Amino acid sequence: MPQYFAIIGKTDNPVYEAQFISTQKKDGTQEFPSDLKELNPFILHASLDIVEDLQWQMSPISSEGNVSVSRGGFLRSKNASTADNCYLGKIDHFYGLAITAYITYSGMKFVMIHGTSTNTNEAIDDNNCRIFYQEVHELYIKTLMNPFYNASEPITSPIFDLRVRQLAKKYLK
Amino acid sequence: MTIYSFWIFDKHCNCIFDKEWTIPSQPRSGTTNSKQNENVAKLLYGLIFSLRSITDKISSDPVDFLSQKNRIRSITTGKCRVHLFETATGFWFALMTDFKQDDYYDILNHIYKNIFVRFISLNYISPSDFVENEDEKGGQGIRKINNKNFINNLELFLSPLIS
Amino acid sequence: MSSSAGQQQIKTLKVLGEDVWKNKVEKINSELFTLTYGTIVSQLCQDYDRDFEKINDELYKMGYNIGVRIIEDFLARTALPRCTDFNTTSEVISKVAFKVFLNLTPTIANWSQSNDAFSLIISDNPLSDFVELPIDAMKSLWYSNVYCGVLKGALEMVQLDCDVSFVSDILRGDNQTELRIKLNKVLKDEIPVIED
Repeated sequence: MPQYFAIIGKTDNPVYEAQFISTQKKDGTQEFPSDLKELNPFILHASLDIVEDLQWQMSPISSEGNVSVSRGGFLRSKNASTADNCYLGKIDHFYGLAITAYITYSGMKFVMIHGTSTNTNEAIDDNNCRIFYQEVHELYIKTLMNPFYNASEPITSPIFDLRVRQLAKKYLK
Repeated sequence: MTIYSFWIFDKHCNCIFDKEWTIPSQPRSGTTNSKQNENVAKLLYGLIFSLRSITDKISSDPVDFLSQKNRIRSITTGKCRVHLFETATGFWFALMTDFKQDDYYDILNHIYKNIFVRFISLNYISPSDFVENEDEKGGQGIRKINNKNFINNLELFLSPLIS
Repeated sequence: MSSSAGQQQIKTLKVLGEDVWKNKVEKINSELFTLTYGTIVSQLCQDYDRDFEKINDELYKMGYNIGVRIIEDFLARTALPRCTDFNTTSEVISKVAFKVFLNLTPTIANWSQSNDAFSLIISDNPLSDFVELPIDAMKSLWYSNVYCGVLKGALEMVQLDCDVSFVSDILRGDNQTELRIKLNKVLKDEIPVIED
């Protein structure tokens, strides 16, 4: 399943984007179909409204369907022990493509479109997705610690790119 | 114990601070950095310098660098004793007192560590070198420590010791 | 100096360094320190319009001003006298000075033929945690140049005129961070001017 991952800043500016191609299956499901590929940024940005809604939600709405159970609203759950509430899970879908999101403490949005396999009912692996987001969050914090990097600038470091891709290979199929 | 005066010399042979207590029991009765003490400062410096070079010449080399060189600790005359403390950077701290105590090393060490380093060396606004041009080297300098924090803390520290 | 006495001396210095670090030094958060230094360098890059030679010089000057003062603090804490030879100086710098202020013990290497120059190899430089140099800086900026200034200033106050400079830096893509210290001459103590 291919994925399209992007980090969006507070003024909706793209900070980083990457497409992850799965190399395991060879039956044509590696990449996004070429006509759909160009739509990816649009789909992603369309879901930003939903992300922001969730970000500023005062009282969490109970969720239904195949999404994560402990959705207590962004950083508002009383049970939050660690960064559990940063991960928002699947927030949107677009003709069978699932979109998951994660918000950092400073309002940076990590959003990802999960491409389809032939079986469109396959749920996205929530746990692995959450771990992927958390690891990318850590990489992002390390990037922020670099004095030569100003916040909200595009991330151009090849090391960051390499590490994100390694994480994608590890946690996302 | 009675402290008569306190002097600081730097590596340019200048006296950068002197304080004299005329009435020993009242620490504030003294003068600080007064012009009258300039000649006394030079004589004192000359005395310490000469005796120091003599002891350097007559003492043998130390076995290793940690067992320190044989340096003067105090000079005693008929009426008073001058205690000396020197740092590797060339600062000399001299305390002129009576005979009650043999060694004021600890007191001078404390003044260096907690008062001098704290208020002069680590104070970025105070100059680290009191000489501003070549003319002021070799004992001809005129700048003194005027830092109020330093002077007040010095008085605070020394006044309970003056009985 | 026989080698066993030398070894003993090195051990004593090591113990002194560790003892002072553990007991007599106030500690701060290393990330705060790293970030503060990082903003200084980054701001200099902006102020000097990425003229990296000038920035290197400025860091050196800043280090020099720190060095002439920090030596007093160092001597107050450790009560060490002036070194008898340059070997001892290298041991004191590596095992006591760096230990007391940064909790680092760089290794001493590459002694020159005439024993007047040596290198310090710093294995994990706290100033450059998380730092990635931009590509134009990688060719000419010595990120931790402040170390050179500090060592020059401090050594000058104990009458050792030295040249201190970076040879290599991990941030620039080299294998290790290496600092070279070369003794030019021992400065003479001043004597009072004789007036007629």
